[in-house]
Amino acid sequence: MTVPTTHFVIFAALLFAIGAAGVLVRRSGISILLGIELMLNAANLALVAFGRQHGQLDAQVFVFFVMAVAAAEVAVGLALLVAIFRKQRSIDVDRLNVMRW
Amino acid sequence: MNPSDLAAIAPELLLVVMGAVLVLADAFVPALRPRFGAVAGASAVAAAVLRWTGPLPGAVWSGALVVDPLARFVDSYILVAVVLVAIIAGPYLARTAASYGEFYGLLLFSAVGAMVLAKADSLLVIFIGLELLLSISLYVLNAFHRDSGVSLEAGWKYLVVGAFASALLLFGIALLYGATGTFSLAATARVVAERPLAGNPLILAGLALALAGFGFKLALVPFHAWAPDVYQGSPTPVTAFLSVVPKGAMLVTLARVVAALAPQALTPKWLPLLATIAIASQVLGNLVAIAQRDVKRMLAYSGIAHMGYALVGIVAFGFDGLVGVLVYLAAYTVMNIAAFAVVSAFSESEDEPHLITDLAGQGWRRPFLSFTLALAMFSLAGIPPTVGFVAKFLVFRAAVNQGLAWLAVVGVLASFVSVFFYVRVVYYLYMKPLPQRAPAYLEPWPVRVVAGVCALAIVGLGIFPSWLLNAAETAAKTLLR
Repeated sequence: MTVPTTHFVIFAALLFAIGAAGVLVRRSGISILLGIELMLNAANLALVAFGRQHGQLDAQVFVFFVMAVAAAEVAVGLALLVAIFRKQRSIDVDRLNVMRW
Repeated sequence: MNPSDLAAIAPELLLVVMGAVLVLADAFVPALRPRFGAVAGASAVAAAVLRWTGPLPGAVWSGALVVDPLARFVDSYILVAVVLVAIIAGPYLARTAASYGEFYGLLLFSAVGAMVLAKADSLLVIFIGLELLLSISLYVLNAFHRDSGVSLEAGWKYLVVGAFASALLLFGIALLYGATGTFSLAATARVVAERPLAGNPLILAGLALALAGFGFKLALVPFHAWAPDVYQGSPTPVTAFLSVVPKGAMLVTLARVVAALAPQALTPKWLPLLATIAIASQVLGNLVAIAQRDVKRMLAYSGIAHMGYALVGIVAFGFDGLVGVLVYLAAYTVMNIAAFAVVSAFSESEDEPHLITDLAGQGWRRPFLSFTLALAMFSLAGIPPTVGFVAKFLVFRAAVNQGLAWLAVVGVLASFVSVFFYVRVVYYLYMKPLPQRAPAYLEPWPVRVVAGVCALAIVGLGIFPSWLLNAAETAAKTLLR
């Protein structure tokens, strides 16, 4: 018995929503980066599930690229957080509010 | 892979190699740092020469990229923007004591991302070009003043919003793939033509998510909230770059996606939505820009409105609309870079806001740069005989020809509103007295050169638009065969 694609996609959509909620709700910079990782990996899961359904390897190749992108993004994001922490001794992003109109 | 595939992407390869050379040279021969800007500019010129002398084979790399006249048009204006930004960045980096060579390396990497994005014929390449190449380099460039609070804030905000947007786009891509079974835009067009997929929930959800991702990157309402902070906080040459290059490449990608899907039944459902976004961007961008006191924030809201105008050309999709979009991108590039070049010379410290009131009386003291800024403002407002007028005229005419006259009417009304805040800058420059303790602004020669080139382009292309128009028509023909 194989798990139907629908189950994977619903699961991926839930993961994606949890990640998006994390980005929007959490105030710690690290948690926001985690939320973004969750969103990207939810999309990966959907890609792999659809790839199996279509019997193609394209989607799995795509997933490797997404992993590389996610790694690069987190590297830059963490570097920014280190610089922000040095500046204001905190990674609470609510304190990034110098600019107002 | 065969040799002709490599020849087709020679300009991109050249820029990647030169970018890597600059980053390494920064680490190993720091004495050469003052020359990096010239090297980056020369690399961009060489890449442009390679693109114009090289082959245009169409689809290469198994259909992942399309090297066609449209790609050549977009490459040209991306590379012009790179050269201009590299020139104004020199005195700026020297003044703000951040003269690190990786600035130019990242600039070249980011330009390669935009060039790849503009050629993408596969959803995979769209994602890679957008995120890995174009955006990640820009996140670092935004936060380039790593001792400055506003610069770090701009970098962080752009990173979170950019990553969020590309995650939306990626999930959209996954759903589209689920429905069509292919990443290629050309194959997607065939699948959509054969099977009526318009009502397929996967396609609808996938397109909606992808549209949201595009909207974030283009700073269209309601995905625009990041733009003012990022524009204000980033180093001014970076703001100039990020206000024109990513948006231009994204718009052309959007045009390619619409061209792949539009002839089918998808169109009637999506065009009203795009039209609403275009109008909301024009109205909100222009109205909120009135309230701004900082020049860079004002230009951010003006940029939101301008992407709204350019989107009219996509809504009125067809040959005229695409020509309008391409001319709009070229016009927007020269007038925005002119404005930001002058602003980069008119600001003392990066952490301070660039207040419009600080421009008071500068018109008589700095005649050349002030005149360029005034010209850029008139062009952004769309007043003839500037290139901004030509661009607006073309997109609105395309809308009228497609039976969307109301869209053009709203656009013209929004332009009238925008005249107020653009002309206010000119008013401060020329009609206000110079304050007693006026800031001692610098006027370095590279900024004068860029201002002069942009001023010439604004007026020259405004009076003789046929050259630009012909180039845009040649480019547009390839997409709408």
